Amino acid sequence: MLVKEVDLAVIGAGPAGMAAAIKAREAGLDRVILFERAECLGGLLHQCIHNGFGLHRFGEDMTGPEYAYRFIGQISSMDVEICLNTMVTHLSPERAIVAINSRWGEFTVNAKAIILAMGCRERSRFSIGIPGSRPAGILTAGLAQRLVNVDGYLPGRQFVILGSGDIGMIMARRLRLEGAEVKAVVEILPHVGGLIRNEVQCLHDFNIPLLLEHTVTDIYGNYRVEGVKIARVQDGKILKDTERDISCDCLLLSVGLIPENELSREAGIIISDETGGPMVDEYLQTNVRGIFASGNVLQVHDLVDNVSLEGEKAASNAVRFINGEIKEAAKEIRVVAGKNIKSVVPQRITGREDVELSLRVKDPVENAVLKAGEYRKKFRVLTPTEIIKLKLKPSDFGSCHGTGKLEVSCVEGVVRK
Amino acid sequence: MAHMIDTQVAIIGGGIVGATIAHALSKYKVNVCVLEKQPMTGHGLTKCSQGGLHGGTGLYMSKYVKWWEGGGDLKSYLAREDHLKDRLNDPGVRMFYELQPFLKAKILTSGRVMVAEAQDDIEKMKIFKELAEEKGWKGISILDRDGIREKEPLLDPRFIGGLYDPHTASVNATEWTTAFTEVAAQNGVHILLNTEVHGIEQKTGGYIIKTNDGSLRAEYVVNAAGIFSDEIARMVGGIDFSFTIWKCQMLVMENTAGIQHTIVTMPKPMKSRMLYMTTDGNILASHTMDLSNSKSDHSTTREGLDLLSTYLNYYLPEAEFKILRSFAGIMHFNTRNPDDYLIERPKPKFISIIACPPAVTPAPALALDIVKMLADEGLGLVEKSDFNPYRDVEPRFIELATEEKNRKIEANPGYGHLVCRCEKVSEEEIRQAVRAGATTVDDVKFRTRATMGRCQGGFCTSRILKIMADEMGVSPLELTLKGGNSYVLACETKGLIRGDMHVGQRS
Ligand SMILES: Cc1cc2nc3c(=O)[nH]c(=O)nc-3n(C[C@H](O)[C@H](O)[C@H](O)COP(=O)(O)OP(=O)(O)OC[C@H]3O[C@@H](n4cnc5c(N)ncnc54)[C@H](O)[C@@H]3O)c2cc1C
Ligand SMILES: Cc1cc2nc3c(=O)[nH]c(=O)nc-3n(C[C@H](O)[C@H](O)[C@H](O)COP(=O)(O)OP(=O)(O)OC[C@H]3O[C@@H](n4cnc5c(N)ncnc54)[C@H](O)[C@@H]3O)c2cc1C
Repeated sequence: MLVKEVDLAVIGAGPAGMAAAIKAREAGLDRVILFERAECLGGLLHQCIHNGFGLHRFGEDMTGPEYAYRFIGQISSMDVEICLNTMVTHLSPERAIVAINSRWGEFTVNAKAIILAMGCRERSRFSIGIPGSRPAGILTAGLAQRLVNVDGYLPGRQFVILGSGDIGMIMARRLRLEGAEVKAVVEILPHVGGLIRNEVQCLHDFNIPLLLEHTVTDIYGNYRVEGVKIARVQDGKILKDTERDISCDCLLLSVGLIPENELSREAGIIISDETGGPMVDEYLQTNVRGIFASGNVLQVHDLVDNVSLEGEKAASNAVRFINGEIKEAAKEIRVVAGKNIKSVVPQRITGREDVELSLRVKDPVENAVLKAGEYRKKFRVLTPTEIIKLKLKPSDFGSCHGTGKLEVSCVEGVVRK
Repeated sequence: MAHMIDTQVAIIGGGIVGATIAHALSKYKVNVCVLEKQPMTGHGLTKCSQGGLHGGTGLYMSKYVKWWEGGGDLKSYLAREDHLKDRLNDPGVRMFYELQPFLKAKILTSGRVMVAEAQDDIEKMKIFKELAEEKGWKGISILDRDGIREKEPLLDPRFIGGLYDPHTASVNATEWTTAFTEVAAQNGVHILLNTEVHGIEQKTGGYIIKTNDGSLRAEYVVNAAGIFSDEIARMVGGIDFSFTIWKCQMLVMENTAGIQHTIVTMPKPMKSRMLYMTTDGNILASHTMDLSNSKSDHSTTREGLDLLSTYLNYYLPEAEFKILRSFAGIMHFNTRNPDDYLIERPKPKFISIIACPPAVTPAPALALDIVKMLADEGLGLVEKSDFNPYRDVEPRFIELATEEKNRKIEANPGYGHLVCRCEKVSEEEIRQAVRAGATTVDDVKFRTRATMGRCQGGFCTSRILKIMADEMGVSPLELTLKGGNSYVLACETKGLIRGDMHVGQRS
C-alpha cells in the first residue's frame, strides 16, 4: 500500500478547501495534498449557476462556476497535489488519512496538519419524518439543482417545494424558467429560511406562491408522486381542518443542511449540537490537535466569500501549528450562546489573541444590542438566516479569564416572533 | 415472450417463497419458469419484511400471543406443533445457515435480549428457554437486572431481568431472494420479469397461463404470488377465504446508541415494540399495526411515525437516535385458518401457497415440501450432475483487505471510484448489479446498498443514473425507481419549453 508523508492534507475541494490549499502554499508549505471525491474542483459551486457570488471578496457579481474558476485557475498553476475522484474513507486522531482512488488504490497519507473542508449534505425526507407513500419524484433541492444545471434533466413538471432555504427558492425560479409549474413553496416558519434577497428575486418576482406557517403532511402516488397534502401549522401544531391537496409530480425538499462530519467523528472530534460542526477554538482547530475545520463542514454559511476566508484562516493557523507557533492553552475560555443566540463559533478561545465570533440569533430582532464580555455592538435588524460576525480583542475578555466563560447574548432589542 | 413458451413447472411470484422453490427445483432436470410481474424479484411483501430468522426461542414469540388469547397451560400450548409454519420454522433457520456459504447472502446473528418488567415475565421466559433447549438450541440464559445491562448497558433499570437468546438473527429477505433466484437462473431456471399473470386455463396435459406478454404452457403450476395468491387461486376455481390485511410501519435508525442485540419485551397482542438489528447494523423500530383494505398501500402516517419514534427510548431512555428512513410493510392472514399457511390443490398439478407471516424463516424448508408434493403429483425428479450450488457474486468491495482491494483496482479501475459516499459503493459494483440483471434504481440500491445511507442518495443519485444508463445503453430518461411509470426524470432541460413528451407517453 502506498504511504505518503505530507505537510498539510485538505479534505474537500469546494471553495473552503481550495482557498486553504492555496493559502498554505503561499505561506510556504511544500507538500500540500487536496482530496476531492468528485470529478472536478469546486464543490457545490458548479451547480450554483445563478449570480450573487463574490460581491464581498472581488467586488464583482459572479456565478458559482465563475467564482470557482478564480480559485481553480490559481491552484492549477501551483504545486499542489490534487487528487480528484478520490474518496477519503478514514481519518485517525494521529492525522492519518485513508483514501481510495483508481490511480493509487487504497492508500494512506500521514499529515502534519489536516484541514476538514467536506461541506455539508441535505436533510432527507426521512430525517424530518414526512409520512406518506414512497414513489419516484421526491428529492432534495440540491440534487434537483445538480440534475438540472449539471446533468441537463428536469426531475418533474409540476413542483411543490417544501422549505424556503436558499436552494429551494433558487430552484423554484430555475424551474419556472424551464417552463415547469411551481405550485407552491411551503414553509413551516413564519418567515423564509433563506436570504430576503432570494425571497424577492426568486419567488415574488416570478409570482410563485409562498405559503408560510404551512407544511406537507402526506405524499400520494404509488409509482410517481401524484400530489401532496398540506396544512397550516400554528405553534408547532398541524391544524387538521386546514388540510388540502395539491396535485404535483415532484416534491423538492429544502429543509436544511447537515455538516458532513462522519470522518471527523471517527477521529474523535467533538461535534457541536448547535452548529452540527466540530467544536473549535479561535484558530479553527478542533479538539484533536493539528486538525482544523472550515467552510460548511464547520458551520453552514450563506455567503461563499466567507467560506473562502474561513478556509484561508484555517490554513494560516495550520501553518503556524506546523511551525510550533500554536501552543496549547493552559486554560481556555468557553464561549457560550446566551439570550436569543442560537449558535456561536468558535466554542472555546485561549483569550490571548483577537477573535472573530460567528453567530446566529434564534428569533429575528430589531434594534438589537449584542454583548460578549466587555464588547457591545448595536444592530438595526438581525435575522436567524444570516451569520453575524463580531471582532473581539483580548481586552474585551476581561473577567472571562476568571470565570472561564464568555457568554454572548442579545441584551436589548425587540424580538419579532 | 413473443410466442408461446412450454415449460414443465411455472412458479407464479418471485418473492422469497417462489425463489426458494425455484432454487430447490433447479437441482433437478426439470424445466422451470418463474413469472414475476415486477421488474425485479423480491420486491413484493418480501421487500418490507423485518427479516428476522426466528431460531431458538423465536418461534414462541408469536405463539405466546395466540396463547394469550386462548389461555390454558402455557408450556403444553407452546410445545404443540400443529401448524405447518411452526414445524417448518427450525428447519428453515438451519437451512439459511447451511445455504449461506453457497448463496453468499448476509446473516447477522446478533442474539436477542428480551426484557422483563415483572417476575411473571421471567417465569414465562423460563418456559421458552426449556422448550427451545429440548429442541437442541443451546446457550439461552435467564438474566437478572445486571445481566441484561451487561448485554445492553443503556437498558432502563426498570427492567428487572430477561432472557438472552444467542440464536436471533436477521437477513435482508430481498437480498436472499436475489441470491436464490440467481442460483436458480444459473442452473437453468427462466426468470421472466415484467410478466404479470392475467388468467389461467386448464387444458389437457396442463395449463395455459396468460400474461401481459403472451402465453405460456405449463404442466405444473405453483402459485406463490404472496398477497395476490387469492387472485391466482381464483383463476382456477372458487375460493372460500379472504385476507385480513394489516399495514405495519417501520423506522430505520442509525445505530448511534451502539446497540448490539435485538431488543424486545414479552409480546402482547397487537402490540409489538421491537428494536431489530438489521444486517447492516442499523436499528429497525418495528412495527405498528393498522387494519388496511389495500394490498399495495405502503404509505406511512404521522401517527405511525410518532409512535415508532418512542420505541427506542422505551427501552433505552437516554439513547439518542437519527432516523434514516421509514416505510410500511404488509401482513396478511387468511380468514379460514389465520394462524397457518394454506397449501391447496384445487386442481391436479396445481399447488397454491397461501402463506402468512412469517414466510421468510420457513421458506427454504417449505420449498422442499412443495418439491415433494410436485413429485407426488407426478413430476419426475432426476438430479442434474452439473448443478452448481455457488452463487457467482463478489463480496462488497469496501469490506476487502487493502491488498485485495488494490489487486481489484489494478485489474479494474472502476473499483477505485467510490460513488456512494455513505455506504462506500464503487462504480464497478453498480455496473455489476446492472449486469446481474438490475434495471431499476431500487434494485441497484438493494443489491449494492448505494443510496441507503445517511444522505439517502442526495449526492450519488445523479451519478448512479449516469452509470446505470451507460451500462444499460439507454438514456437516463428511461430509468425508473421501481418499474411502472416510476420514472426518475421527466425530460431534458428545455424539454418542457419544446413540448417533449415523456418516455412513458412516447412508447
Ligand atoms: C444551492 C446553494 C446556493 C448557494 N447560493 C449562494 C449564493 O448565491 N451566494 C453565495 O455567496 N453563496 C451561496 N451558497 C453558499 C456556498 O456555495 C457554499 O456555502 C459553499 O459552496 C460551501 O463551500 P465548502 O467548500 O464548505 O463546501 P462544498 O462546496 O460543499 O465542498 C465540499 C467538497 O468536499 C468534498 N468531499 C466531502 N467529503 C469528502 C470525502 N470524504 N473525500 C473527498 N472529498 C470529499 C465534496 O465532494 C465537495 O466537493 C450557496 C450554496 C448552495 C448549496
Ligand atoms: C413488519 C413485518 C415484519 C415481518 N417480519 C418477518 C420476520 O421477521 N420473519 C419472517 O420470516 N417473515 C416476516 N415477515 C413476513 C414476510 O415478509 C412475508 O411473509 C414474506 O416476505 C412473504 O413472501 P412471499 O414470497 O409469499 O410474497 P411476496 O414477496 O409478495 O412475493 C410474491 C410475488 O408475486 C408477485 N406477483 C403477484 N401477483 C402476480 C401476478 N399476477 N403475476 C406475476 N407475479 C405476481 C409479486 O410481485 C411478488 O413479487 C414480516 C412482514 C412484515 C410486514
